[in-house]
Amino acid sequence: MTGRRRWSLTKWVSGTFSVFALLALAALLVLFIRQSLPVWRQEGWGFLTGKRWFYRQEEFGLAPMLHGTVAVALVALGLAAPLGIGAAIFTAEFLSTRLRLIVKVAIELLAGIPSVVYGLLGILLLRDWVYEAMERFEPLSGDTLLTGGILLGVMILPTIMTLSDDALRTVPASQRLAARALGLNSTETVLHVSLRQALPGLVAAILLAVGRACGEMIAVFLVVGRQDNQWPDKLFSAKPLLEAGQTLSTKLGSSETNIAYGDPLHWAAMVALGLVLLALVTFITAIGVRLQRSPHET
Amino acid sequence: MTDPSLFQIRGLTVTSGVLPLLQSVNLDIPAGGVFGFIGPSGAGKSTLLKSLNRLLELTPGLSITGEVKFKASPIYAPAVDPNALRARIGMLFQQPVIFPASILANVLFGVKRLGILPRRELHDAAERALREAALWDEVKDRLKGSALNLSIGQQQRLCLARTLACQPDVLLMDEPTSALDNRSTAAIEDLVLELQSRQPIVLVTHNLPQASRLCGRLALLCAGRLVMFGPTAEVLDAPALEQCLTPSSC
Repeated sequence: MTGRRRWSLTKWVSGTFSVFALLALAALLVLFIRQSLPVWRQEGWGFLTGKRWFYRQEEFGLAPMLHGTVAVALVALGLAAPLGIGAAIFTAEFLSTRLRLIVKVAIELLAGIPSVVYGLLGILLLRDWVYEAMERFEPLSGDTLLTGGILLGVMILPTIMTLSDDALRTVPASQRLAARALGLNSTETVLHVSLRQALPGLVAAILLAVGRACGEMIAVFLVVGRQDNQWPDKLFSAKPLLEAGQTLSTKLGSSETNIAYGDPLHWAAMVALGLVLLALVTFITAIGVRLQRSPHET
Repeated sequence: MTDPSLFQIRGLTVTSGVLPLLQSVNLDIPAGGVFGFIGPSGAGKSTLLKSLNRLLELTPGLSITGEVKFKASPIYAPAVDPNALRARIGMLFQQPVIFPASILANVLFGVKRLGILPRRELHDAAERALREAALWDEVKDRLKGSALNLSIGQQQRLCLARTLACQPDVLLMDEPTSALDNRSTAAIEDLVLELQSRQPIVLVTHNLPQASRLCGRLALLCAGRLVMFGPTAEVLDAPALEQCLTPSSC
């Protein structure tokens, strides 16, 4: 493009709306930070690292909830990433355009199911299954971090799949053909050409899905047990997965939020939880979006 | 080998739905020199070329019937592994297709995956291939640099080096200079003339002066049919050529 485009009415109007959106986000942040100030003054960094949350004793530490969030997200990812990327390889590399679109629409419909419906399915099908399958480890119930993670995995599967499919389709067909002409078979072509070149897009798909997983509340809420102060004895072990837990978002969704409203310090702690969740999700999503938009090299 | 022809094509017909792309082509391609396919756009030159290494069947929706023999063995027989076949038959496309990686990684892309050379010989193989493609002097100091920074002419020679590194029995070239400027075209043409002494080359071109410079024998295609074939001078002088290149006739 040569020269500067003149400001048109459309540009003015849409520009104004964009500024409004940014201002709203900034206002939200300012509001959250101000509202949460009392708890930061009292706890300092201890708010992030503290392992105890007893609001009657005015102790606020969110580490167990952070652990719960990370654990649930990792389980979800461990389940959904291989399945989703595997399915995307099938649709992007082996299906005809027509069939691919049909499958994609079906998968995207799955992504549109309200999460509370997933939650009900989790109670109906998953809770007992986890309890029975893990019986020899003696879980107290089927409401565990593992259950929440599996359910979340099912929920983010469509996101991972459809975004991975898009990423794979950005690799030009001529690249695959050149590899085939050199004598590579279809598997080698997928491994050395498609997956390799789509890698940033695949990582973006995973990060965007994780962003969604961290913020997801209601489905996890229904199956995770919502047990506070579950800091594991050993951080890197699978045992805590079979115990009930709490994530940042399930805590915020609980009735404690309503109780807290009357007490400035308690309320500040709840808002600070929201702020941490917001920062976490925004950070992960921002990296994902950035990777996704990074231009293809060819 | 008693049979002197490299490819024997018998009754090759390719259709896309009901649309015929090639109609019962019979042709022998000899085992030496440069053999050219000429004809107007849409005549089926590329289709015929891609049927020789079975790359054509990767395009969905085509039906391919008839027989093609490569060095006297039928390549469309059920027992033939098309991947192994393609590894023996090098191919150069109209547009250079560069993988987004280093120059070295590009040259070795095929040969590494095919596992035809031990690891310690790979570097020598890369140098040999780049020398054969007349690219070595231009890139020897930046082998680890991105291949995407090369000019389009250099990229096409890199593609040639990549396929030469696999030591193919024959090279197929699908209008390899049509995307290039005059200087790069001359470089590729020189390479074709040099390489033909080592391995046979089948070249698709719509550029008749190029065909007359490079090819020993030509086949003229028109609307999916083989019109004539023979020594270059003969085909270029034939009245059929004039007819075929007049747009109304095809």
